[in-house]
Amino acid sequence: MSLLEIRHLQLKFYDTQPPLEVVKDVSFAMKEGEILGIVGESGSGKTQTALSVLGLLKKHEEISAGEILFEGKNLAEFSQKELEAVRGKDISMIFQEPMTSLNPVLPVGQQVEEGLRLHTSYTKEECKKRALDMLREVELAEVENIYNRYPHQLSGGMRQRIMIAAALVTEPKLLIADEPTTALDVTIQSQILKLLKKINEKHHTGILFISHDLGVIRRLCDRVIVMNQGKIVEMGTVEEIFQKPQQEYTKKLLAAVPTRGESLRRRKGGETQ
Amino acid sequence: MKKVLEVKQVSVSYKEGKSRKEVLKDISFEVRENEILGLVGESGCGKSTLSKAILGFVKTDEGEIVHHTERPQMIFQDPFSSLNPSKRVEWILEEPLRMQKIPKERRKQKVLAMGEKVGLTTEQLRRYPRELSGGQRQRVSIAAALIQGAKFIIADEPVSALDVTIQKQIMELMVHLQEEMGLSILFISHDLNVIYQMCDRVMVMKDGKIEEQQDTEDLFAHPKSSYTKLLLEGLPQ
Repeated sequence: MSLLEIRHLQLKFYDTQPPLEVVKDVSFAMKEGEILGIVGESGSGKTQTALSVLGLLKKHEEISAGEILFEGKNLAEFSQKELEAVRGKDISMIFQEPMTSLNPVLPVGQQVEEGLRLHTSYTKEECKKRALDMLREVELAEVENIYNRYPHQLSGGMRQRIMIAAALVTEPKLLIADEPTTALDVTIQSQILKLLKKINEKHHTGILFISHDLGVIRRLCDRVIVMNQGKIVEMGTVEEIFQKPQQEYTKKLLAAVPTRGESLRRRKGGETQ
Repeated sequence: MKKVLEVKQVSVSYKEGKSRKEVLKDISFEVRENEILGLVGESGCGKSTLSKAILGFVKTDEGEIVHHTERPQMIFQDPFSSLNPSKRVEWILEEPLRMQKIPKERRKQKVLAMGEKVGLTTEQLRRYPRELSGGQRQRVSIAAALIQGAKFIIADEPVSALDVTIQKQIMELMVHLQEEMGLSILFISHDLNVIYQMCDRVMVMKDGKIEEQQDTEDLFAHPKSSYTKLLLEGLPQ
């Protein structure tokens, strides 16, 4: 059985007339412990596809058809209450900007523990111990000190580590990551990618990784889905998509990525001019 | 080789509580005529302060900034915030010409010609900024920077907020305009691969200092500083 299987998902925005179809008949499956990337440009529907898994859509956004099977159960039919039991326990999510998803007036340690308080019967001491372990796991130093700090006292990279710790504290089987490294500097981005990879290998956590950045997708993922205008354009292993893309759109997307292959400039010969 | 800008041993500091925080430390470089000079660095390295210092918006503690042409024009990451939302694009582009008392007919001609250069249609020129896509808005801000005949442009992360396919179009446009108009561009980016594609020379900045500056091919083939090597690590080749 797949960890997550999406069948013929269709999603509409109802705030326009006629409603706007943002996800059109999307189907894919991911295995346990797999890192699956969804890549696309703005308006491709990648984020909406991911948010729909957790029922985190806005009021005017609605799943109009399709199934979202998590370990065989159809989340699309779950009530909000039933979804809450899954969310933050078996499936967790991290976002681009941790500053807006972390509570600014709560020490970060308590935020890391929240999943445990909601979903387990751990005592206060057990929660704290587990939270501190988790902070060590995401490679933060002086965890006792960090535990009592507030989000604004930490750097962007540290805040993203806190988010990851909070998302993973309940040992979810699936982590949905929506552009988690986009707002970070390249050197920090690199560290966060390595951390996600390490966690995936150690705990066998499946990661659904959403990004517009093909370079990041290539470094992290096992398989890739390319989306454009609400549809899946192409799906394959990282090698297949990056080395033998079949579809025109994928080729165009890959060709647009700035690389060191060829320069747009006819460079002059150094100091000779 | 002629220069458009010389920055000589410039230091800048801000007051922070009772002490001062040095944000630029002994910066020296030049921008030459007809070149795209890349400036790469991560957040907080001082690259934005440097462009402000060049424009004269922050006071330097030490050193000298010598302009050999008129002050440069700026292009920003998010053109939306620098374009007047209540005016049509053609009005925005005409504005500096109006200030110079250029007659109406001539203004219209100039705007149309500039629009054509940056790939905006007459119909797009009549729209409001919000009615344009991100890429089209960046074309507007490039046109706005060039319409008074500027020869030196500072572009601060001009393609960072754009989708890759649009990003490529804007990069190609900037390279094309540079060649056609003989511009000098100080191109600021956090993305070394974008820098590779665009620039003749590159400066790497870290903690307010220039780590190294080299011709682009040399920098990528033989980075001298360990920080540059770190930045290059893991980039798609």
